[in-house]
Amino acid sequence: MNTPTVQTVINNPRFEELEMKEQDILEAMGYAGLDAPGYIKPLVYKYIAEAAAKVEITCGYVLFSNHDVGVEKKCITCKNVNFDVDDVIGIHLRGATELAIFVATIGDEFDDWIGDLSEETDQLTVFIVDTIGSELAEAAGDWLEKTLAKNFSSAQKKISNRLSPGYCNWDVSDQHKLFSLLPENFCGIKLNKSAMMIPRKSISGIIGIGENVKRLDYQCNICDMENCYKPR
Amino acid sequence: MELLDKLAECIELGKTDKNFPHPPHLTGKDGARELTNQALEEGVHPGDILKKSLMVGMNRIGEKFAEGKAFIPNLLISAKAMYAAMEYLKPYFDTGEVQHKGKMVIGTVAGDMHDIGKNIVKMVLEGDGWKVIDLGTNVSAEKFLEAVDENKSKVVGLSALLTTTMMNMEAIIKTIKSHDKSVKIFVGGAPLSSEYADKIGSDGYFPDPHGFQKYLNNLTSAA
Repeated sequence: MNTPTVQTVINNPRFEELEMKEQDILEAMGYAGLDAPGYIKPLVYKYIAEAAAKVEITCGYVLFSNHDVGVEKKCITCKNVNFDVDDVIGIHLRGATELAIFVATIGDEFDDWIGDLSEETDQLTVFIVDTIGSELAEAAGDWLEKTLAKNFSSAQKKISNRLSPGYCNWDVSDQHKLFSLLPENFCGIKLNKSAMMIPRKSISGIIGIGENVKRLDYQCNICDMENCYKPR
Repeated sequence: MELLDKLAECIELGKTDKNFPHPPHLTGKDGARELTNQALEEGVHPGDILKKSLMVGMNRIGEKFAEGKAFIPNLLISAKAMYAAMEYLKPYFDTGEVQHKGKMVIGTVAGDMHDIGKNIVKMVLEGDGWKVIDLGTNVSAEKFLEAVDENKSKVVGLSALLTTTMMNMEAIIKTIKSHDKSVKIFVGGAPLSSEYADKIGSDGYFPDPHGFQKYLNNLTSAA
């Protein structure tokens, strides 16, 4: 007989483990396949190096399984919370018997750093550092995904891509429902009324796990979001 | 090359001053700072420096950005050069010898702390001769109204990055419009669309700063 289980996992990967590359930052700023101005490259290198001392990476998830999990085309259920989602999300999570509600953050010192730079220096520097922060938070999410995939591979289970409110036509206000499934202040992240995470360089979402889960590319061909970073 | 053309090139490519290492082909040559000073010393009217150099340079980089041929860092480097030149023009704005095209109040709406997009719009408009009153982030309807009144501004720009905070735009628009219908209110930010902008009663949505700048110029020249 299946019994409901909830498991909580928290990790603190090192900065080096995120494998942040300068090219990732340049691409995120628009220079994908293009040569960025020579003046910008050294700034990117400099601030990536400085970022190492400004981050405290924390990522974790709460795992729901069995009776707590329901996956339908337009509705995902986790414990007693229903998420009304777009087909895109349903397609990704098809076959999931477990759901990991995850968060990842690079910590609040990075926010303070951006705040200080905003007062002390020019917008270009602020933009570069802000981009580095966003990419580091995503890289922490990548690290978490890889770790999760590794942990479940021995049980012959596969994981979906990570899916977040605000993307793939999933309303960002569902962040409040998502956070209701996590312990308070989980990994040091709080949500404000506008569904914005604090620290700002944080990500959150859901990952499906199961023997029959198929890891798909992001379904950009059937999504109508115009301003999304996924297909870049 | 004429002095003002050289200055326009410096603005477009982001050559702030002689010591600034970018772009490579202008290494060691005068930048926006030196050329603006030189132009003033040669008796060029500060209004001409603004119109024939600063606005031209910012316009060129704005167009490249809108066409996907330049990116945010390029815009920001240009803005840095533009501000370096503006330092020399500021006294003439203060005395009234050079007039701003108009005043605009700008801010990120209540609940939202994102400001990079808003700051880029501000830079582009300042480079185009507008006086921009920047209220920062997390700005309430009351603060917008206060700034509109205080500055007698007829143009307002609202920015939001989240679908949750863009909903706050409608209340801000209603507050300002109920006070003064003639104030034009424009919205921008990643989750917005023209449809949403119409629905909440704004006067327009622009996905890039250059499009907004061009629209405002048409609006003011038609007035």
